[in-house]
Amino acid sequence: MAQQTLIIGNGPCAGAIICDLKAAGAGVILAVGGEDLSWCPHTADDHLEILAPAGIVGCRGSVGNFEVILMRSGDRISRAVDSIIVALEPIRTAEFSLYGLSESKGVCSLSRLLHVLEGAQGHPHRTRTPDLQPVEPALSDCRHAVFLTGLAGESNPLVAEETMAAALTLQQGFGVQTYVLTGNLKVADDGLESLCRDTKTAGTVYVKFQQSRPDMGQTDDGRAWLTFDDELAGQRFRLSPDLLVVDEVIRPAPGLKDLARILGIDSDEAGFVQSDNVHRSVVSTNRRGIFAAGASRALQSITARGLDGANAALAVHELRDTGGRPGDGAPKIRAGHCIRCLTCYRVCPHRAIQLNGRPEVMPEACEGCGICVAECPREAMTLDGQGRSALAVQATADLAAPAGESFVPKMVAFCCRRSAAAAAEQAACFEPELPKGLRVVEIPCAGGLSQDHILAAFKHRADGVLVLACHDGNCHSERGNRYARRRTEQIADLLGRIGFESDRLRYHSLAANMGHEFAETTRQFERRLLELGPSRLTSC
Amino acid sequence: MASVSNAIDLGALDHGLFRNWPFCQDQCLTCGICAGSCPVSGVDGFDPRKLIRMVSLGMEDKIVRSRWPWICTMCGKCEHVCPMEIDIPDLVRSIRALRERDAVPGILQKGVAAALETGNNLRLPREDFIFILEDVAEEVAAEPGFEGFTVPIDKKGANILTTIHNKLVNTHTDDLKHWWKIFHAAGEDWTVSSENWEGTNWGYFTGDDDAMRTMTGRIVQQMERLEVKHLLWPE
Repeated sequence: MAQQTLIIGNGPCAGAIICDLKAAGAGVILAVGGEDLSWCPHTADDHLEILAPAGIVGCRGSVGNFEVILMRSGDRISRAVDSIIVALEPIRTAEFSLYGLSESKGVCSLSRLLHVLEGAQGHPHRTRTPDLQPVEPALSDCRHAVFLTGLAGESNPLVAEETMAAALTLQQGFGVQTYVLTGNLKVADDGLESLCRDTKTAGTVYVKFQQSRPDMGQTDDGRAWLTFDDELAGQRFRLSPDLLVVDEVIRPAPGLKDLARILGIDSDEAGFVQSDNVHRSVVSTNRRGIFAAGASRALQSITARGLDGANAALAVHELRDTGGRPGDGAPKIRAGHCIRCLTCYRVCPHRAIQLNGRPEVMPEACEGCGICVAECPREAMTLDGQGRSALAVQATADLAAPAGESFVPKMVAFCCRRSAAAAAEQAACFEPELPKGLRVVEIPCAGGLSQDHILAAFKHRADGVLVLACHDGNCHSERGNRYARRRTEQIADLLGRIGFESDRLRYHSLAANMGHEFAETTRQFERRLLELGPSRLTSC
Repeated sequence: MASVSNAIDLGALDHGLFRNWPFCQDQCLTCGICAGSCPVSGVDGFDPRKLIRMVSLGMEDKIVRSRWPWICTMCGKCEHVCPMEIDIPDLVRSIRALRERDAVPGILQKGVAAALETGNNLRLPREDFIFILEDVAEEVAAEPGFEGFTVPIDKKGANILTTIHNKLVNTHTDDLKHWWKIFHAAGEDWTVSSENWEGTNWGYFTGDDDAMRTMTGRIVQQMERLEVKHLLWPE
């Protein structure tokens, strides 16, 4: 295994990871899009190769053995690494124009003020140097400072935190009377309500605008003026602050979208390269060995941002300590059956299939979900223990014929290992009455359930089949639950069209701690099956 | 620059003016639950939230001149429901205290001044007070079961000293009888002082701590003079 990590970064977060990895004696390759390396805490040496400016254009292989293709000064170069960390700083755009203002001696962006404050307090810069020509706000002459936030657009907890922290510093450390003019102040993050209280105690005045907006402009010397109605006091006020601080929109780094496509990692709605999925913690992505840190994965609070570099370095260490996981449970492709339709390559949520003339499974990258097996139109893929008829036989083997006169519906519940199967176990312990004819079949992921599994269960005398998967956003394999839902609905529809009761097949999502809901779902299903009576397929 | 003729220069106000007040007004979340719970919300436009805001901004002139602090009944519902536990009634009282005493609304300041000068809000002379009490006592004694009842004025060493609300020796003398009948039936050893007997303390309403302290001190003096251990202050 090449014990080298590729870091794609351009700022303090990447710097923190380099420090941590180098301290542990690990090899690092740093790829930087631009030429600015002023943020980088180390220069190139035996353990640190710096490629700048360089862009990623390709990535092959998988965890422990990635081959990354980069373009540097028109040259195509290749590097072998065992892991990749994306740590690109976000883009911050001050809303000057939206407020009809321009940067001047009396008007600056939040970033610039934070930068000046960090310098004034002798702290290392955690923020990037703003790109605009510096017009340094002079804090020594400042008596009144106004912060604008969430007035021209939506605010967010990060901007709220930075605004309040800066106001507190000005108020306490510089004797400045501060005002926060806000449309909405988003304080739904760790410690923000407390920070808000601290600023109020320190004397920061908040002015909230719901119906109106402040009028503002600049005088010839660049100083800002504002007039506005305080909606609470019902009074019109004017202010001529020495400093007006404008909030910013924070967006993912511009190259992140292309990078995500090249690396095969999922993005969230805003474009950060970590999907909105509970399993993506802390810095993990949908691919083993590729991590997203800092503002590459989400908008982060000041504290979280400081921790993320360490999180990424820890993830790499953990990967090396475990030597990558052996690829147990990875599917095999049967030679002679595969027609190279590339369905498996497209559907694999973990990028565990690569093309080498033909599709190949990379076992070390495989999570064993079985989605490729279920989706393969040629039944060319097999996964141990997931044979279609084998599973169905296992499910129905001990379903006895109805005892005596009364009808006991035979039900098969295909349960995802990570959610519904655990809920079923809980129900077995705590719920007094589960349906007598219920059989639970554990599967690695509901997405691995093929139509043959479901139909085989009916063929083997099941009166009803339940597909129980994870909630939306909770699927370890990202889309497995959605595949399962779609497939279940398609088959139910199909069964309905041929005159079979489509109610005999049902999809439901459950969390691992929902034992009671599992019991309720199965009892309700049993009641419906009792109404429908025995399946007409059982006599086939 | 836009017209700012009617605008107050916010930067010129001292927002920390009232920060030494222990009422947490700066922590207001502006939720408005106080205004929703206030029984006099809307009277002359009164809005407790707005008042808190004006105090927080340091709008001293406006709040001291405003009628609002005098509309508040100090019932305390606002404080009870406030999520930030802002002590609104005490804050209102502190605003009242900021007014010049001769600008305190009508009867309130008149009552406080009379009490400070004469020991009761009515300026009722001692002889008249005693006459009224004895007159009422005679009426009580005329009722069956209360034969021989007398009012024990200035009785040394009694168990209880009771104060008198001035309206009980003015328009509501019948209400004196209820108390007295209970004392009689219970066999209580009680007394009432012939001076500084006033049970009301309007300095509470006008925000006048000094007046409150003086009035309270006088009652304690009577307890000491009459060597009474317990005080009944039905107000």
